[in-house]
Amino acid sequence: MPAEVQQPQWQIWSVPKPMAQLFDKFPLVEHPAALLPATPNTPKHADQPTLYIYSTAIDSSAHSPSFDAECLKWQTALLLAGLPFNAVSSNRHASPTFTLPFLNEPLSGPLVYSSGILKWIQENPSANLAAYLDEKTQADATAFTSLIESKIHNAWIYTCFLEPKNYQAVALPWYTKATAWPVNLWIGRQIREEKRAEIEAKRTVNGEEIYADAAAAFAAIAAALGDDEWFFASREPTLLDATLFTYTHLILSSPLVQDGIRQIVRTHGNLVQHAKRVYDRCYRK
Amino acid sequence: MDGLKETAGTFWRTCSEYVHPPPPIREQVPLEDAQFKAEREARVQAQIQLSYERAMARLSEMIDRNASKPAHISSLRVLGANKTRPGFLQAVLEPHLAAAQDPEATFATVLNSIQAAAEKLERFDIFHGVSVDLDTAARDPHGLAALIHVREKSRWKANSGTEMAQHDQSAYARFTLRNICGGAELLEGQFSYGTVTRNAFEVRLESPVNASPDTKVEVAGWNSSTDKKLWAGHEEVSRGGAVRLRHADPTPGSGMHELGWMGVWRTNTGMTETAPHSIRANAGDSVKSAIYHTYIRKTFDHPLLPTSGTYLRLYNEIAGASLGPLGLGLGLGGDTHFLKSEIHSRVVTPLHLPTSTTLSLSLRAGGLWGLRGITRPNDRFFLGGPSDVRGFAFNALGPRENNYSLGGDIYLASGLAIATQIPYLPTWPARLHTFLNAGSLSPIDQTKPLGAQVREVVGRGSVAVGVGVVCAVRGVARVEVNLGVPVVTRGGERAVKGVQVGLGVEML
Repeated sequence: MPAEVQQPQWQIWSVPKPMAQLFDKFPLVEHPAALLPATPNTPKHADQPTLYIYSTAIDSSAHSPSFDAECLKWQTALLLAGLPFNAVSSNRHASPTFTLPFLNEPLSGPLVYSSGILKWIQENPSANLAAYLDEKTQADATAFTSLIESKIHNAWIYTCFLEPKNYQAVALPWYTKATAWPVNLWIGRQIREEKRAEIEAKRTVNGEEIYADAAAAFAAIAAALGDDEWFFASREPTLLDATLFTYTHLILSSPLVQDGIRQIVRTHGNLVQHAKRVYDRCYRK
Repeated sequence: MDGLKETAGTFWRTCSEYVHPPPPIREQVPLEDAQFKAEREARVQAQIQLSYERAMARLSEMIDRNASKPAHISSLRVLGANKTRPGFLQAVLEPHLAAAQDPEATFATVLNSIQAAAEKLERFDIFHGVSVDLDTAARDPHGLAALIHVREKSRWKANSGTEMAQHDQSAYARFTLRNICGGAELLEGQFSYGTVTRNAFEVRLESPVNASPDTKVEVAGWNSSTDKKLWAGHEEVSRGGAVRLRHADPTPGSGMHELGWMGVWRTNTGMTETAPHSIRANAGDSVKSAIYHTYIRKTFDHPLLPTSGTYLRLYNEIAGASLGPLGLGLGLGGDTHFLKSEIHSRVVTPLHLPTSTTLSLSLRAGGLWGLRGITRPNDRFFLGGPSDVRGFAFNALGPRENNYSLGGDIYLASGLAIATQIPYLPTWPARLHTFLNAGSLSPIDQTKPLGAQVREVVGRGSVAVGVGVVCAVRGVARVEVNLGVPVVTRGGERAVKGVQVGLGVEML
């Protein structure tokens, strides 16, 4: 890229012609650009969009699942849609809106935040994320999605952040691994208080009630799934499958110490099989 | 003994005459004869000046005559230091009295000791005026009783002001508590708000070590937020503390040493939408625990527009390193590990040509070595700007992506300037200068041989030339208006053709 030249700040009068001609001769010599310093987490494929997620992966492979619910959901959706992308490990300071995930298209400007990723997938002609079959299915899917995003989401947040032993064993190492002592303790505490406030905004923080609501939600979802491979007997996975997978995968595969919620999920064999199916499709290379 | 008493009395009387001169003689003159009156005033002033010079000559003659008369200090009292600890005063004054209490001491020794003691008290910056009285001791032949009068400065002081630097103009409010424990300790808190340093708060507590005004120990803490979006695409929040030991020799021409430890929690946040991946990847928190040393020595004859002198600044820092091989686990802590070294130097010499021409040659170099392979942009060097390498935009040299600077690990910047007085305006605090500035900034790739990379930095750089006018705004900063062109550039760098205004104190 050639050197850019800034015009003089005040153009009260225009530069006289002989002087402009003289200025045009400069710079006399131009060397090639300086090399860039080494950067951690460089995306491997520079021509593909990059999804910034919470992850423990050290490479930019899209096939390492994130440990954060929102990030895992959109990562799974993109993988199910068959779109190639890089997934780099990041933190929320990288995002102008202070939340992850977000998608950075390689050569064009605006960033796509999590609320806009679905639209971005739908507008992409090479995406094949299955749509819902009809309007009734659409309505059911919306209902189940809101059930998952409220009851099961609260149960996951509670078990991961607000159960003390789980916080020490799971949440703190995941979210603050890249931060040195003693700052990691402060950051961890800050994230935990935010998650508590997130639950408190909608309901009281009571472990038993949260788990009871989640158990009921899981029962309803397991009943809706039945013996089908994907929801609503669809032939291809839909966004609802990705949403459910997010929480069942995190609950089943995290090293939880207080794992009451895991027992709840295990009672529904079809949910466990469903999670395994999505995992094999997306994350097993 | 009488001779001594007379000498002492005359000595101080003459001094007081010098401080409070007798009023000039006035006569009634007709008002319309203003010129006659002015001439007469001038003659009277000349007479007073002459009598001062004669008094000083008498004084030094008297001191010379009596210098070797035996005398010693038998007692020393300090009056007016109500808030200062007696133990502290004793520790300050005792070293100077040792020579003066010797029975072999002379009058000259006594005067010098008292002089040094008074000057040392003034350097603590807790007294307004220090004056000394000598009187004969009651029962001691050749003994003198010294009395030091001090007026203490007020305990607290609050002031506000502005600080001007290129791209960072800020206003500050400062609150100072002096002499809080009676030992010349200082507690200072400062809030500042500016264009780049968005808001900053710093507190520091300083205390002299061993009752010496030249050696101080300081504990400081700060919380600041810097807006670097213009050249780096993000904001940096910095919270930390430091413990510093500073020593500055009062003899002119000697430098100031500072040794310290700092622990800083930096957060790169507030990324802009267009920040490239190389900047986004460094978002987040990092903790730096580092030991550093600074040496500064300045011998300029004028702080902002020197015509002769040298300036040297050396900076070395080691962060986060673990001590000992085999990973013994002892280290400074933090997650930032590097070795950093920097040198700033400048020489200004007068060329023996008319119109007070001077030649200024500056050289700056720095290197950063990441002990774990890579470096962070928070620690890297940035180069370019009207107060740095002129002819280029602010921080616009070196590795750049998407019009944002990433910083480099090794740099070399040099400047050559010839400055003269402005024709027809020799008394203005301004000079005309012609400059040639060169700078190069590069990252270090630790997987490749270092020698070749250093040779590339030294041999291949960006160069700009120009002319301009430099003004010194008294005590504040140096303002430059330059007209320059880039001669050699590297791809991606932003040069400025034409007029460029610079503001700063330390300029290349």
